[in-house]
Amino acid sequence: MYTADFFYYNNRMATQHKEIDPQTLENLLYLSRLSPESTNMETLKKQVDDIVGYFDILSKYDDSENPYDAYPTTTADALRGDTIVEGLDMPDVKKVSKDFMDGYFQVPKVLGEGA
Amino acid sequence: MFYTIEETRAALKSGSTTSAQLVQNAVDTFKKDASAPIPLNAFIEMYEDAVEKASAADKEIAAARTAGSAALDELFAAKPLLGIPFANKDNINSKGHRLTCASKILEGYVAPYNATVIDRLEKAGAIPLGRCNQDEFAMGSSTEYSCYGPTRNPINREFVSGGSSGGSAAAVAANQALFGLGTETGGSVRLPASYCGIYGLKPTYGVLSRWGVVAYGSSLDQVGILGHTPADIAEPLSLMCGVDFYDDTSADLPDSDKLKNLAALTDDEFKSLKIAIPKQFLKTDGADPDVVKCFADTRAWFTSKGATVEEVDLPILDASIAAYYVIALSEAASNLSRFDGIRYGRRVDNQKGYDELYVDTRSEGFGPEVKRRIIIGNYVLSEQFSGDTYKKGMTVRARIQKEVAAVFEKFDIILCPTCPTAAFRLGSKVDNPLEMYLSDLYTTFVNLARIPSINVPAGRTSADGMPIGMQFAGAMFSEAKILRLAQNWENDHKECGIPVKEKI
Repeated sequence: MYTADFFYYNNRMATQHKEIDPQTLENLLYLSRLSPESTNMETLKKQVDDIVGYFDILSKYDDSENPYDAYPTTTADALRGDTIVEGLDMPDVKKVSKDFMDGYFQVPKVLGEGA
Repeated sequence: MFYTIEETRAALKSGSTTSAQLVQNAVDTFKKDASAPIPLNAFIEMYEDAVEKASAADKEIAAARTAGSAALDELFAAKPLLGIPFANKDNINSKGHRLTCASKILEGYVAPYNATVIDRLEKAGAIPLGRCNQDEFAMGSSTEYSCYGPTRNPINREFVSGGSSGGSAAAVAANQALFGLGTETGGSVRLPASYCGIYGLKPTYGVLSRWGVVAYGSSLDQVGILGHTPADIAEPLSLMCGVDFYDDTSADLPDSDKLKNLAALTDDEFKSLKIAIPKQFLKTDGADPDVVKCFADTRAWFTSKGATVEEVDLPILDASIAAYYVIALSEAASNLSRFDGIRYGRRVDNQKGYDELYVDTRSEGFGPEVKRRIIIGNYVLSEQFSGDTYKKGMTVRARIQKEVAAVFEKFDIILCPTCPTAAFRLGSKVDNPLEMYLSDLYTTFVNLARIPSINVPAGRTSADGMPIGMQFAGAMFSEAKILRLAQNWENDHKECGIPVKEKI
């Protein structure tokens, strides 16, 4: 059976991957809009380190290839015609969220008390 | 008991069964399973209007039967899947029905429109039966990362069904649906098809519209089909494929007419086949010996029938899993930023302001695997943290596309196993995400290269009797060729895609 260790040690580059420090992990959690309290930080750090370390194999195959050749389309200005089509029915749209009032999505306060 | 679309359609035409009966049987099985000591958990909800839609189909069929055989044939020519129920995955919108992506964060969401694939199947008369379990947001290889609990393997419930489309695969394997829809980003249709012992197709990127499918990795995502036979995949594919106004990456499928009455390759066509086997997939260190043997047997089957088999060197494939995860997780972090508690589903508002609302909603709504992937995706996307990792991933992808395309200039098919192992026991990999990711060893290059590939059931493990799958991958838009080849396989291995002979 393939194990993580098998790939990790067979495919990693000689250069040791720099481990993610606790502060970087906290920054990543904030960037992801996730709270540190919602996860076991020690386990998460080890798992993220293992996976990110595995990405080092990419350096072995990196060359002058244009990475943008890999996109589904490379034509930036190929837009479809400005065709008007029927939109969604409002009663159907209202079902996507419970917080819907007077024709609008209800959102928390941005200004004033409670913002 | 019907196992294929063809025999079910014949029974519907003759009146020996009705669509309402087929749907009711599925509903009864679902209810029975829900209260079983070890539930299969393939479906998580049967659509309430399925019986009603089936009854409407029955009325159409009965009226045509009364009008005569010509009218009946005309009806089924216009609606080839009339009255045929199918399983949907919980990340494909079916209007008026709940959709959660097996995540708490989409609790309460009701689809406001049909995905194009659902629309097209319904226009062909098919009946959406219900939504099937999956890994949360299609992130996983075992259907253990679901807020509804795991889907088990119908062959042995101690084992996983594979993922992320494990619910759809288990539903088909357990004869709870004739065919099922799944989605693929890195193997999520072929892998559960392999684990459950059925056929599973990942089409060329763009052949099936992604409109109405919840996005994970947009440059890789593709709807796939699971079935008992190649013909049961080919027919729904022919009815769903083609350009869609709502998806600019959608494309027409050449030779789609060959899918309607799928015929195996002729002897001459078979003998002219050139099969490529990447040397990188012949490394056996760590691979399950039963899979290695099955791979050798499949290779021998090709040569025994006159095809040419050659080994090719594609060193870049060693980097395919890393490239796949760099790209897929970056796109996932971006795509899943829309789930903030404002527009969709669940909201956790502790009255501390909007930023806290986002954090609280996402922290409570997402499961551990989704959180892990978002964090890693944001790491890759932040140059400050990861340097040029994303660019390297894209560079490797470009090379994989180019080098795989070059293989198909000389060869018709790439042959390899679908997975290094058969299904594993529940819980055995759930705490080791990297090991779980490595289940995708043979599948991710297909998604990166945007080519089609089909899993064919090819054997069983000696110890546990769990299914082993092989895959036939072809050049872009060669679906007709690989499905016809799969029909050759089916002809020589009758009913290999029916792992269970009764309804469970």
